[in-house]
Amino acid sequence: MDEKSLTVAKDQALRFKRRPMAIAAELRPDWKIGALLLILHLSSRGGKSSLRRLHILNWALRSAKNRAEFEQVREHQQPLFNFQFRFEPALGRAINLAVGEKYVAWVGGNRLQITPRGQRWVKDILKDESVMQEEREFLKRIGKDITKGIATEMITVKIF
Amino acid sequence: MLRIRHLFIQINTDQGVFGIRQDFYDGLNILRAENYAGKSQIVQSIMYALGLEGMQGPSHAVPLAHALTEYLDYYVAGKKQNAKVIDSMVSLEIENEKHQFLTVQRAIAGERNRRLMTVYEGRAITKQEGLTTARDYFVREGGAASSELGFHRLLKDFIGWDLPMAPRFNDVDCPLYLETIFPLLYVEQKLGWGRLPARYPTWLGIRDVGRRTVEFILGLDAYSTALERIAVQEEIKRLKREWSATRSQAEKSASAVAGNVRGIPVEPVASWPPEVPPTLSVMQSTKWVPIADYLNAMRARYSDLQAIEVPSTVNAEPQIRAELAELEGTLAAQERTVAALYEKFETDSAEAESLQQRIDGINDDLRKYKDLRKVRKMGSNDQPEVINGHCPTCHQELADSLLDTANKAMPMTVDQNVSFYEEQIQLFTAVHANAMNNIETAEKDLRAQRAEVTRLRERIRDIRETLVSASSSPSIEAISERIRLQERISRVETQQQVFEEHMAELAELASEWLDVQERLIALPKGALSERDQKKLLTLQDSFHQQLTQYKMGSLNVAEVKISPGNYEPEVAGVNLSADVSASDLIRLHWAYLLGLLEVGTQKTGNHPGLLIFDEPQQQSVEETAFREMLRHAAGEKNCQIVITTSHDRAIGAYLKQIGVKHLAEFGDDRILQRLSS
Repeated sequence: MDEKSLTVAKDQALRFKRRPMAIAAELRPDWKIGALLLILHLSSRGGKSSLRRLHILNWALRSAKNRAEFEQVREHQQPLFNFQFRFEPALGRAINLAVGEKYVAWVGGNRLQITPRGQRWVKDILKDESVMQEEREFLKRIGKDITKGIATEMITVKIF
Repeated sequence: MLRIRHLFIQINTDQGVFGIRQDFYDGLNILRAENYAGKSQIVQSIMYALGLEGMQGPSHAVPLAHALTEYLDYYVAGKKQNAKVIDSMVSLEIENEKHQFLTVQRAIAGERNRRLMTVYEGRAITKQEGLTTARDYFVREGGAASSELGFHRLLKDFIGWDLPMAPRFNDVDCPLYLETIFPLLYVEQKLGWGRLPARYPTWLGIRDVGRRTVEFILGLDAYSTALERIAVQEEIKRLKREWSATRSQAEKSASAVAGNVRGIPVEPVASWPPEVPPTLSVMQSTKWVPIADYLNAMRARYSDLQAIEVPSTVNAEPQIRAELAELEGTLAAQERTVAALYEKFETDSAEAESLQQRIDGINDDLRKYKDLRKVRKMGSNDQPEVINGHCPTCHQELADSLLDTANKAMPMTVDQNVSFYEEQIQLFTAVHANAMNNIETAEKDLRAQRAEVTRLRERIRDIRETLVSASSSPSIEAISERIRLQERISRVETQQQVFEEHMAELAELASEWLDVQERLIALPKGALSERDQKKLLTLQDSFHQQLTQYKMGSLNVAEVKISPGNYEPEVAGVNLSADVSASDLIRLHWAYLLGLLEVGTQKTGNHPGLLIFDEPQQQSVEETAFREMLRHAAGEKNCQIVITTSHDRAIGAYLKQIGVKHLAEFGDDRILQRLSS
């Protein structure tokens, strides 16, 4: 191949086109809002939860591995300091959108509560058993017993 | 073929014996009597005598009137009298194609078990034949159609039927029971008419019962084609399974000699051996050589060794010292090769594992995307702005993403994302398969090279031992080389034999594969074979001709077709049982059953040539239509048709005119008469 064939003629200028980017389903607003509503509906007393608790459950919900780890820690089969937890910024954005959309609302300044509008959507989701099946099974299994206290413990114990 | 020859009903009452003896002939038999005379009891008794009352339902009650079971009215000089039934019995003589006769006898009322029938081989009633051959069979119990002493098994053999197996709802397959076939041969008066094509028993739980019975009666290939298709698919599955089992066995067993099998096709092939025949090769120093060459080399070496005497240590020393030096060099090189191979194996494994993780991850995300589509649809009931890509608060455009929106990258749409993932999965699966392949090859190489290292080490040890042993003793290395060689030859020989056995097995499977492929090609493209289509056309022709003859009113005859799906009459866009007048439904019913008789009694059909119509003049069908039906029935060949009617006596003249010879005219009498007192 000679050098000439590698050069580009002036009239054939290179053009770059922005291609859309693939993103995880997790990062779609409605997926995250759906998950948020499920957490509030299935695993929170009175459909209310603190932000910290939401972050923990959101993290647990994200993958089968996380779910298993969460349950093991909770059943004391693994020491708490094994718990590698991270805050997900996407959840914050999803919460903002959900509040704007009036699916959830802030109560008492620091707790989030599902609204009747949110209830409607989540009930629609629950009607079709195949939708978000793994997530909903996990949430039903852990039930509403994860209190803010346990959540705090799960996060703060790492300081040691 | 099945013919009814003689019916004998005997009722013992406290007032004497009542009953009837009735002969039946080939062709059209008409039984005429007034209403309430008991005509239906005659045909119903025939079905009962054949143990077929199950076709009307699962009940075990006797489906006959009180005259046969409890009390019987009779007249003496115009005065009605009442006789109490003590016991009663029906006997029936039947004939088949080979002119064999059976007489069956079944109790109706009385002490005798109604599930037992006594069968005589011959005409026991009219000719007193076979009276010593009486044997009891059972009906209306599990196994009646299949067990040695089941009457329906006897009956189907007598008729000459080979019943197909039929799939059932929630149960194992069963033979197509006689109870499901006879509704096409006998139409009961009260509930049978107008139910096209027949009132099939549902309690037996046979799937597609209408289709199965018509297929059987007409002897269509459709059912056997369907069965054959399933059988062929099963066979293909089995062969594939066995093929891959044999293939992996052959490959695994080669590992006993650190060998490598190559060239066995992954999927079964029809011609064996393939153009590049499979080989078993063994590692020799660093190359794979065919097992035969390898064996030959070893045998040659062995016979060379045999030819010379075992040297003493002192004599062997100069030579083996040189060999030792060389071997140590080779060993070091070989060990480096093994280490390199091992490293490659490790990296390949790690790559495969990470690929697998990647695939799992994408699959999980794909699942989430599928759910997301539904979630989005459900959420859109409330028309949230997020889903339309707008911020709910400021209504500005918003990317369909929760990533930091400061960078301007556009996310794909959900559909784009899903197809992107699907492509990724395809790609990664291919790469993964490739990696697995590499791992497998590396494993084999590794095994072979390690075996080679072991051999080298053994040889080095032998030489070292020889060098330190007494100088006059025979050379240890020479002896142990012989022993090891011999042992290795026998091991490799065994393995060669095993390999050849596997090849023979594959050859066998290949020929079975060829057979099954031929069977697959022989299957008709659609559900119906050419012969089937011809039969259905014949049926439709006869059907049309009759309908014209019977002057059907509410439908255009040419529009009525025989459905190729369920073989029932159909008219495009019309629900036959709802949109057709009741009397036309009766016409359709006559025409369909007579048509089945005509087509089914031809050579490849299974119709026994017996058809019984109990009072076919239902729903005030016009006189002319009824007469035309009788004329048509009288013209049928190779069959026996029994028709009961309460038409007025004038029909006798018409019957004579159309050539009906067998008219049983009961006048005003009851059919069950006093036989003796």
